[in-house]
Amino acid sequence: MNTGGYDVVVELNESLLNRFLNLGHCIGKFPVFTGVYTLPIDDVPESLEEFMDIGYEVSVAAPPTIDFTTDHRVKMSIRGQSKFTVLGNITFELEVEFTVIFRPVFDQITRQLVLDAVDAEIDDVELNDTYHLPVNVINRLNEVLATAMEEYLTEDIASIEVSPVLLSVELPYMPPGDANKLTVGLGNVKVLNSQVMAAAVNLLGYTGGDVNQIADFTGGSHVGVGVNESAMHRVYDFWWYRTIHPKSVTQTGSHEFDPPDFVDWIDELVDWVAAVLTLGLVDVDIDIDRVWAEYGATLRFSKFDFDLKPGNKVELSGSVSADIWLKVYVQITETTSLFWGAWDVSEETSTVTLFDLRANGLTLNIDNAEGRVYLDASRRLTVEVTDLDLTIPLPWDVPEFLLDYVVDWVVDQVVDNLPPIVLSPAIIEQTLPDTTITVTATATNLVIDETEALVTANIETSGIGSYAPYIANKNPLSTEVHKRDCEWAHRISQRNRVYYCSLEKAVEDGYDGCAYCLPAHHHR
Amino acid sequence: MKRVRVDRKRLERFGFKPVKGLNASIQKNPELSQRLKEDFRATLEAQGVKVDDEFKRLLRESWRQQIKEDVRRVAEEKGGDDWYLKRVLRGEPIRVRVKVSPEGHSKRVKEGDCE
Repeated sequence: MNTGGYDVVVELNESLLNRFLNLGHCIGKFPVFTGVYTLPIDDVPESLEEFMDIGYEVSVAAPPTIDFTTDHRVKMSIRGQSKFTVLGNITFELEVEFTVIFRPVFDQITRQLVLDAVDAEIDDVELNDTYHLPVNVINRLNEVLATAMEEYLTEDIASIEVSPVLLSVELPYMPPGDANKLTVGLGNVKVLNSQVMAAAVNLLGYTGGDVNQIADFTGGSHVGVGVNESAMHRVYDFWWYRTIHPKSVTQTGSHEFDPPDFVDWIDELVDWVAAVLTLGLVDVDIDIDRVWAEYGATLRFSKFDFDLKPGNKVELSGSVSADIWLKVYVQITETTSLFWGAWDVSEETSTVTLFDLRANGLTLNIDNAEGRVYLDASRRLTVEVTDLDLTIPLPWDVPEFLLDYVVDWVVDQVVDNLPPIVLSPAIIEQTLPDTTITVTATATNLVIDETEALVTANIETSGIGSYAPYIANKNPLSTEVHKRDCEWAHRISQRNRVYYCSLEKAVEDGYDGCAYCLPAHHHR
Repeated sequence: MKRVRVDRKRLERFGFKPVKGLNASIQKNPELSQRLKEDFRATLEAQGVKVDDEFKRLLRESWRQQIKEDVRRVAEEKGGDDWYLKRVLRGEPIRVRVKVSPEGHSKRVKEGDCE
C-alpha cells in the first residue's frame, strides 16, 4: 500500500517546491529584515555606548532553492544581502550564502506544505570592503550576521509555504458551516528520496498510518495524491448525510405514440374505447386521432455501497424507492354523441382516459453496477457509473408499447438523477491564498487498486503577469516602472508590459520609478 | 387515422351483467339501438338500467378485468417479443441491464429473462 495506511498522502517533487519558492520570492514572501545587534562588551563608557550597536538589514537576494538530501532532510540554499551600520552611520554591504536546514511540516490550517527553519549556517561571505577592515572586525561582523540571519530565518520567517494548497476541506453540494467541512488531522511529513517528499494526513478524526510504509508513486510528475479506500468510505458517508444535493427527485413527461408503436394493439384500443362509449350496446364508427401518455415518477435514492477493485473498477449496489404513475389517453372522433360518464371521459375533447395507474413505494434495486473512478473537473475523486442492473417490480399489465416506453423512461430517470458518489475533497486548490496566482493541475495518471487510488499530476501556475509586484513600460516614450496596483500601471498596453519581481532589477534595466507610486526612485 | 367500425359482435366480450337484458331487447327491437344512439343515457334509464355510482363501479371493475384478459391474450398470441409484459404477467420484476454513456444509455433486457 503506497499510502501507508493514511487517509491521504500528497507527494511533491523537489522541482515543484523550488518553483513555489521562486514564486514566493517574487511576491515578497521573504521580506527585508532589520534589527540591531549590541556588541557584548562590558564596562563601555556611556559616551561610547551608541557605537556598540550594529544595525543590520537583511534581504534574500535571489530565489532560494531547496534540495532533498540523502539523509532525508530539506536543505535550502539562500543568497542573502546584508547591510550593516556601525559607528553611527558607516555602512557595509555583504552578500552571504547560507544553507538552512528545514523541517517540512503540513500546516493543518492552510493545508500547505511549509518548511520550518531549524538551523542556519553561513557558507560564504563577500564583503564590499571599501574601508579595508581588519580581519578581527570582519570576523565580528560575521558573528553579527550569523546571529541576524539565524533570527531572521528561524523567528521572523519561521516557516515558508512551498506548495499549493494540497487539498480542500470543502465537498460539493454541502450546506454552509464548519461542521460541514472535512476536518484534516496531521499525519506525518517525510522526505522519501532525493526528489520527492510526502505529506500524510488523516480526515475526520482518523488516526492511523505508518510513515515508513509510504512509497514514492509520483512517477516523475510534480505531484502525487493517494487516497485510501477507507477514507473514501468515510468521506462519502460524511457527504451523504450532510449534502443538500437532492436525494429525491420528481420528474414528469408526456409522449405521443405514433401508429407504428401500437399497431399490434390497434384493434384492442378501438374496442376498449368503443366499449367505454357504448357499453357494448351500439355499433359505432371511431377514428383514433391520438394516443398519448402522461407519466411521472418520484425517485428517492439510498446511499450506494461501493468496493474498489483492481484495474480502476468499482463495484456498486444500491436501491431507489419509487412512486411511478401513468395515464394513457385516447382522443377519438366518433359519429354519434355517446359519451355518458361511466368512464373517465372528456366530452369536450372526445378524450378517453384508458389507463390511470399508480404504483407507490416500489423498491428498484441496483445490482451488479460497475463504475470507474475519475478526477472530475473540480479535481475530486468521483465514481462514474458505467453499467448497472436495474430491477423494476412494476405490476402493470398494460400493452407492451406502454410498458416499454415507461420502463425506458424510468431507467433514464434513475441513471440521469443518480446522486454523485464523492470520494475525496478537491485535490490541489486552484488559488494560492492571499495571492493572485492561480494553479492548474493536469492529471497524468490514475491508478486504482483494491485499497487506494493514486493520482499523479503536473502543476502549472499562472504567468508572471498575474503576480509580479512591479510592471514596467517598455514604450520608449515612458520607460517607467510602477507598483502592480498603481493606476498608471493599469494603463500600460499589454504589448509594452515588462514584469519584475524586484524593483532593483527594473532600475538596473534602466527603468525610472513612477513619480506617483515610486517617488523615491523617480529621477527624471 | 383510419376510421374503424366497431360492431356489437366484437364488443360482446365486454358483456356486462346489468345490461345483458338490454342486449337481448336490442336483438328483438332494432329501434332500441337507434334510440340509444340518439339519447344513450335516457334510453338506458327508460329500459330500467339504473346508472348510479354502484353501477359505474361494477362497470369499471368488469372492464378492467376484460382489458387485463385482452392484454394477456394478445401477449400470448404474439409469441416472444413482449419481454416486459411477459415478466409482469408472470408476476416477476422487470430486469434491465443498462450501459451508461454520456451519449445515452443503452438498455437490454437482462439475459435469460426473455425466454
